[in-house]
Amino acid sequence: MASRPLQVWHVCRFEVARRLRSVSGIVALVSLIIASAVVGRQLAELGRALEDATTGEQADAFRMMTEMVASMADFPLETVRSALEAHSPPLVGAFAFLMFVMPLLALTMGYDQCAGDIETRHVRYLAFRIDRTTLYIGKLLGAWALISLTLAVAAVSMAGYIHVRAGTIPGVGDLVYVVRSIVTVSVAALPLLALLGLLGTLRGRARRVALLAILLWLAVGLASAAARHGLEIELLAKIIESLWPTHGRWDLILDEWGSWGESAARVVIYSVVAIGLGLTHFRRRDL
Amino acid sequence: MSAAIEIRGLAKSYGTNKALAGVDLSVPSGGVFGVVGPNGAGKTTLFSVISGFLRQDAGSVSILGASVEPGLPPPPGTIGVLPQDASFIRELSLGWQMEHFCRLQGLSVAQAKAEVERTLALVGLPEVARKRAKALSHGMLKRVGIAQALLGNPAVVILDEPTAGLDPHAARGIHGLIRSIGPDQTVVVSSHNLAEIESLCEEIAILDRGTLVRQDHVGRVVGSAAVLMIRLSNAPTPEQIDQLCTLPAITSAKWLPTLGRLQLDFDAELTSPGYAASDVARKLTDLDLPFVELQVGKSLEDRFVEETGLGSPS
Repeated sequence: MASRPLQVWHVCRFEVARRLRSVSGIVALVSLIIASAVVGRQLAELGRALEDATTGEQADAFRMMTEMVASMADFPLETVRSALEAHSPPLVGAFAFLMFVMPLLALTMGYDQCAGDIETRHVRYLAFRIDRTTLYIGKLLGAWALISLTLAVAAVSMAGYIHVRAGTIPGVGDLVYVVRSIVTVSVAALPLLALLGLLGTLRGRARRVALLAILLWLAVGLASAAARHGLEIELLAKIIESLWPTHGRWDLILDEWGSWGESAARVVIYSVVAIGLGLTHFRRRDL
Repeated sequence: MSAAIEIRGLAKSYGTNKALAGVDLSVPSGGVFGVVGPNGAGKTTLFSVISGFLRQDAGSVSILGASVEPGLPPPPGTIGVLPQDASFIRELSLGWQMEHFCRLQGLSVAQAKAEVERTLALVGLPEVARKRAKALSHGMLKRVGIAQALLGNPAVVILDEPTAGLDPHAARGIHGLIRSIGPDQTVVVSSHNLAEIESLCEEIAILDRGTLVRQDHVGRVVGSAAVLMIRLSNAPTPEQIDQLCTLPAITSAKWLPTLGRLQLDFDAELTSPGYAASDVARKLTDLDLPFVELQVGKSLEDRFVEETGLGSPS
């Protein structure tokens, strides 16, 4: 009999290959590469404008890039400016774009971890062969590996297009920054995947999981806005916001390690709690 | 002979509905064991608890002497299961999915490929390994489902309604397959088709409303009634029926026109079922009443109705 880590590996690998072999998986990946190339082209244009422009125009291009990142992250311009000055601005833009689309990617790729197999009873072909912890963790890791792979493809597509367009060879610093962006966004996606896994074992219906997650996203947004602007209770707004698993992810694109630590702690705590609850329920539920 | 599956006081409820209410069952090793019962009797729930799909509320299950913890899979390699309504992933090839199952059971890549080939050949579908699940008919998928239950040559094979929804030809193929499963393996099969269970199984358990009504050798279940059922080519005349009643052990005789059968009750203390059948066969020949079938005891279907108190099995 295979050891538990080996079984987790088999389940994880099967989940990734299963999605990539499906028609919808191939279409999604090709679409993402095209979209990434389009965004990469825009970022490359801005990068070129920064290099070619005279001092006054350069300031305009830099301001445009700053405003783009700041609007996605909902950060003050000053905070973004320091990041753009420290790294290649188009790569910072690519990092921000990945962080921006990550929740949507995680939702579309991670909503069906266990739920679909419970719904079709396919899980019964697995449940008499391996224990439920192995199955649950394997499927979660499979979803995480899939989104990490997707983010890597998107990041490399964008970075590649930016450098090809600029006719430059990326330096070590640029490569490290691209790897950092992939790893950071992947880690930031884990709490959302853990939440989707929990909803999957609670509901056992894949589409309902996606619907519930979107409703929760909307509800948190509306309730926190009401608390902040209607009731004007900032603490309550922050508590409500923290119910959504990707809240605070934008801190991770900055180089300010103080806010970084707080966000990383939130990622860890949210993931541990959601995985623990999901696993506990999955081990007890009828399959 | 030691038990392949030992069940003690098994109980499982869905809300207020008791699916299993303290079932005790001992499935002997080797051969084919049948579980029959009407809809809602608890057959699938029983199989699901044994397989680890459902957690029981009370009671214990052990397979080949090893205890199965609630909600955990049985000891590795001990059982293979055909769940009643589980489906393969439609978009993926069946061979690839089955290789995945083998890998989870600890087989190497080469062993997994060989095992998939072996089991698919066993069910007569060696060509479907490369096909997607959505390309196969219901009957073919059922056979592939049986093939996946045989992966790794488990000691106990549980088949929940293996012929449900199949045409007679496909069902006959599966009967042959079940009979061909090695004598060192124990097959536990449930079915609504009582004739099927009667022809396949050596021993059966009758479940009704979550309780075990009876567990016995199939011959004893159907033969426990002192009766001979005879299918005749032509309906007998009243005189011929009277003549049959003159035989020493025969206590009564009646023609059942709706079944096309003659029912003869005999005194089991005066004669054995075998001698009674021989005497009746000779008398039928003397009376020029050709028969096409002579059955000692009632059919399993009749006994099932009597045991469960139902109008008809479902």
